[in-house]
Amino acid sequence: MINPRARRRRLLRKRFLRRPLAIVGLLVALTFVVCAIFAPLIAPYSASATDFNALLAHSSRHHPLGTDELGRDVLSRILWGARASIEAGVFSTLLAMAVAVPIGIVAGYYRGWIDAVIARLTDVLLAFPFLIVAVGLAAILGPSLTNATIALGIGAAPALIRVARGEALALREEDYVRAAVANGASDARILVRHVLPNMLSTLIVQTTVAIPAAIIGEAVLSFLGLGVQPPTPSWGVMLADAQSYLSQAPRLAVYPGIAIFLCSLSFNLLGDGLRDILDPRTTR
Amino acid sequence: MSLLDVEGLSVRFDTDDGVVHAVDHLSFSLADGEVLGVVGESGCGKSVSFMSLLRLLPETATVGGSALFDGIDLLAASNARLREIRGRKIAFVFQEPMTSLNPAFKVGNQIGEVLRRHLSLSRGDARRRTIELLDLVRIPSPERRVDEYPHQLSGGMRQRVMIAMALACDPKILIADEPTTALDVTIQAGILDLMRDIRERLGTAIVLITHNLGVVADVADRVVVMYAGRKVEEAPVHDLFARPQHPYTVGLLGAVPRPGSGRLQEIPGRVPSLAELPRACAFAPRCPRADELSHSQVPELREVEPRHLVACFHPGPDAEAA
Amino acid sequence: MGGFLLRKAGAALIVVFLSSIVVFIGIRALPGDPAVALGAENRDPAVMAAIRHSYGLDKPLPVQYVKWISKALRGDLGLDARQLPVAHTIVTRLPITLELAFLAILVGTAIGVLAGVIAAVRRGKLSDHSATATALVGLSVPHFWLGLMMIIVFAVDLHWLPASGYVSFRAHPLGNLEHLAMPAVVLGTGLSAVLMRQTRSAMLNSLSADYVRTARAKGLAESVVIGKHALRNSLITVTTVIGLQLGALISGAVITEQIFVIPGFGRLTLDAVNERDYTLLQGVVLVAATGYVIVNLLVDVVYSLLNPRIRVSGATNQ
Repeated sequence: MINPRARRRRLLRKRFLRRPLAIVGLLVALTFVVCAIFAPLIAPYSASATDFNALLAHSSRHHPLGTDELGRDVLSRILWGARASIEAGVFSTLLAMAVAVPIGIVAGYYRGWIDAVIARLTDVLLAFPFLIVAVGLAAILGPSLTNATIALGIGAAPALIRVARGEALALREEDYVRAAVANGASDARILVRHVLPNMLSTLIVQTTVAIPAAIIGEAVLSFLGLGVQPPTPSWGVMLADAQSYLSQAPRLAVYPGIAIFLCSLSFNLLGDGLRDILDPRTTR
Repeated sequence: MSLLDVEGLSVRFDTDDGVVHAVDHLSFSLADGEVLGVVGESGCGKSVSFMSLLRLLPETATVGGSALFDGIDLLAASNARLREIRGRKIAFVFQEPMTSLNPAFKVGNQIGEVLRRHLSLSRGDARRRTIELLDLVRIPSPERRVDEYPHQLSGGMRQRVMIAMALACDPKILIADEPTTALDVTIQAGILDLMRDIRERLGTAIVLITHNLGVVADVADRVVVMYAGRKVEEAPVHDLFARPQHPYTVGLLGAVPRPGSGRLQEIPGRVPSLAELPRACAFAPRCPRADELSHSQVPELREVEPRHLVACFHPGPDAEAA
Repeated sequence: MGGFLLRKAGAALIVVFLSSIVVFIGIRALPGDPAVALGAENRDPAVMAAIRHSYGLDKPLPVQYVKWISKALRGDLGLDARQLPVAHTIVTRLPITLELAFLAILVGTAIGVLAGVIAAVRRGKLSDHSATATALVGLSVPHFWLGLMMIIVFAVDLHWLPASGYVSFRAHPLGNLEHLAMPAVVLGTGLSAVLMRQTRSAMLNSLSADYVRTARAKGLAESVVIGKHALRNSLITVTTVIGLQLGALISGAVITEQIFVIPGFGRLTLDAVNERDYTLLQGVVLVAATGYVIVNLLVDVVYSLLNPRIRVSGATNQ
């Protein structure tokens, strides 16, 4: 007897393997995550180790990507910087999901006055551009990576509430949900056993889309001085520092930017692939 | 002199699951002012055949054979040529009135489009003619309807608009694909009345594609019966109903509800998949008259009485063997 | 249509009102004593009390709010830390950002929609794949980095465009466009990437619709079939997307103005946060939120004009 869930998982895996771009996305994203976790072990230098004999040096054997204005090894700083980005990207998104999904489900499933209130509040929050909210929160909480993560998470939540609400709204009209209600199942049971699992694919896709936005958001906040504080490395901070040396050493701006770009791109590719294979209309 | 002469029309689709033969060597002709009924179950290739004449099929389709119209072979003509003919000389009315009209434009705009494209009418003239056309298809208050959007009209009215749009340039041939299927029974009669009216007043040749024999009995002069992509019978309408020859036709007639006819006879079995057409009579698996011959050779069309053709090894009007 | 818009306007008003409350409370939540920021560096209690009294900071919160909001409705947003009227500062700097945003939307829409249509029509071919790939890149590129790269290439290396600064249109039209060229492109990139994907998706749906088949059967030229019939129905989606992207546009303007040193509204926001100028920040965020709501309302108007189902029968299936 083949378990239908196992069969579906096998089908999804088969579809995934047919999409080279998604595989590349997954591998590159994993690479960044590994770099982030194992930075202390992989990086040749510490992030703040200065070498005043080699300021703004070009690539060499000792420093494959050169050094910055304080003689710090660029490659190491990029590896260490992955920590800030991945941490902010992943955790802020998880935070946003943890907050938004329950609120959205409650609003969409129960409707009525609670839905009206939540919908209005979400609209209000969405009236403030994501960055302004993140900047404001970072200003309130004080600049640091943790606070930036929280700010990014809260900034991303309203949009996710909308998505979760929309899904719950649609799912409550499905026949199997109505059947469960007619059979006297408790609300909690219905939400956990019927509504949530069917939202899962949408939520997974949203997660992979939200992460790159959060990664770029962290870079922006650090760039503006509202996130990671020096000397802790972050790709955004590296870019901010590079601004003063654009004519002398443009490569200082190129490397961290490429890192952000590749990290974000890999998650986007993964997200696109997942969205494609989870779409019921896909045939391959 | 026939208006349209189709010889050996074949349509093949390249799908992920292999090649599907939707139409297999179909030949027929259409005379000026004639109403031809094309009958068969869903999937027997009737819509596909006629869409192929105007090159309205998706790119996965390969079309073979010839279709002579007005001295041109439609299947070999250039795209530019075909665009001159579409809507102007040969017009198509599709099956789904609900989705065949563009929801973003007014009805008058959509009909006027054809007039301005083919007849180069000015906006004022096009509008006048559009109102006339809406009147022709018996839409009440046409001056108001001209400025309305499709979602403001009922299904029956939308179908009439589609017909008006098709008749705009006074085409030689009007191909109506299941014009009544998506509509309520009460509305159907009105549309069929309209078809008769059109034939009488305008002399347009009409091809009426349907799976409903009752519709055909009402309006058609001649009938072609298709099964699994092939033509299996062709006859003037009265002859077909009085003396059906092919067992499939007999079965179809038995399935038409008539007062006093007792229990409806259904034809057992299902239409074969068009991907695996055997080199035999396609109907054999469901046929009460089938024998070894039917299962081993493809029957050719033979004339059993004047202008009455049938492709069967055991033709005859009775349900059992002739 | 009237009913639809009225409802949307009503909702917008509520959102603006609630936003103002959120702004007010949010600013009050910021750390630091406003009195210190407002000039009492010596922290003399008497001076601080006097400052607090003159700014009404010793009254209860709701009273402060009402005072603030009633003044705001009359156009008076108070004085900032440099004793300059906030409303005036905003009014001088807002048009700059609006011009930047307008140019960005122009660039983004033109490129995005065109690319999306081409990709849909030539689905599966090289132009589709390259356009889709480019859109993906555009989505993943951090646009402030793109700005830096463009400065390096076009300003530092090639000397074609100025690296920073701003000149008003009235004073020097060509110079104005030169200064805003790179920022507009940078800001418009994200929008064009999103639009390209959405347009492509919407066009693919339209192109397989029955009414497109009808248009072909009428003998219309292919350009008319695509450009009039298929595109029109996709525009509805496009408008919705632009509306959704406006927030990202404003966020983007903040950083773009920072990088290209453009004295716009976005930069003002950042300065207000960095300098802890609460009165200024209050006014700025209120204007930003209100502006956003108004623009969304405009998008709704355009949407209802494009969608006959709403325009004519007044019914919506929202």
